[in-house]
Amino acid sequence: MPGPLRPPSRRQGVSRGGLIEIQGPDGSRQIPTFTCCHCNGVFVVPAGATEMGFCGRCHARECVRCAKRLNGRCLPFEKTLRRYEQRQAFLRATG
Amino acid sequence: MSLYSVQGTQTTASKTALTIVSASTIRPRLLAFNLSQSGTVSTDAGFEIQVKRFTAAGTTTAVTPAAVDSGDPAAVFTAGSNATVEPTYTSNTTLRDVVVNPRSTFRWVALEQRDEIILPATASNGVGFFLNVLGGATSVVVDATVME
Repeated sequence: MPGPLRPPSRRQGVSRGGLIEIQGPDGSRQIPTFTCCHCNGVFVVPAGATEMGFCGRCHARECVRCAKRLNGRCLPFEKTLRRYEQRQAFLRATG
Repeated sequence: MSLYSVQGTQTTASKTALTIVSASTIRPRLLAFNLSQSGTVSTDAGFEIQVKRFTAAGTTTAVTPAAVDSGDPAAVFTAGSNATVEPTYTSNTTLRDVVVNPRSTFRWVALEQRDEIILPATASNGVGFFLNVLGGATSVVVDATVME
């Protein structure tokens, strides 16, 4: 039986994501993060990749909430942003 | 593309420490931010910062974005610290919710362009660093790097 779907590795062109660095009295710790390609939220990369979605069109990682909400569809964040900007511009123009 | 550094502080819970306000002509990008605190730590209880989007900027003390390259022009986006009137936050847009031990510093950095937090090209819209819980901190300091 095949295992859970894992996102492609860095060599396959997936972004390196982000990095959290916590420095305290007990030393420093680094935690990898990823930015969801559909909502632009920043999430800690889970230990098991099964808790994270992957969009084949964006070729990027998506959060679980977007994976459930979009259910396989692709709505890039920049497209959402453009729609929002156009709507705000329209509302301003119409008073 | 120019890089700017902005800082904000807050000493009261349920108030915003730093706002980054976009303009209609640009899409600023948040590249990195640092969370720390100054002053004597009272307890080990953590302070909580929520990074959220807003649609109205509220009232803050103006912060002039400092260009990382001194040859760059003044920033188009604006920033504010220590909000007295809170921005109008959009529900379900919390980009990060972080609890930090006041004896520690927290830093987040996007390693690639695809992972930056993008602000819309709409006036008065932007991202705020909301101090939800003060904990044992005295004065929370937020330092952000923004590209436009």
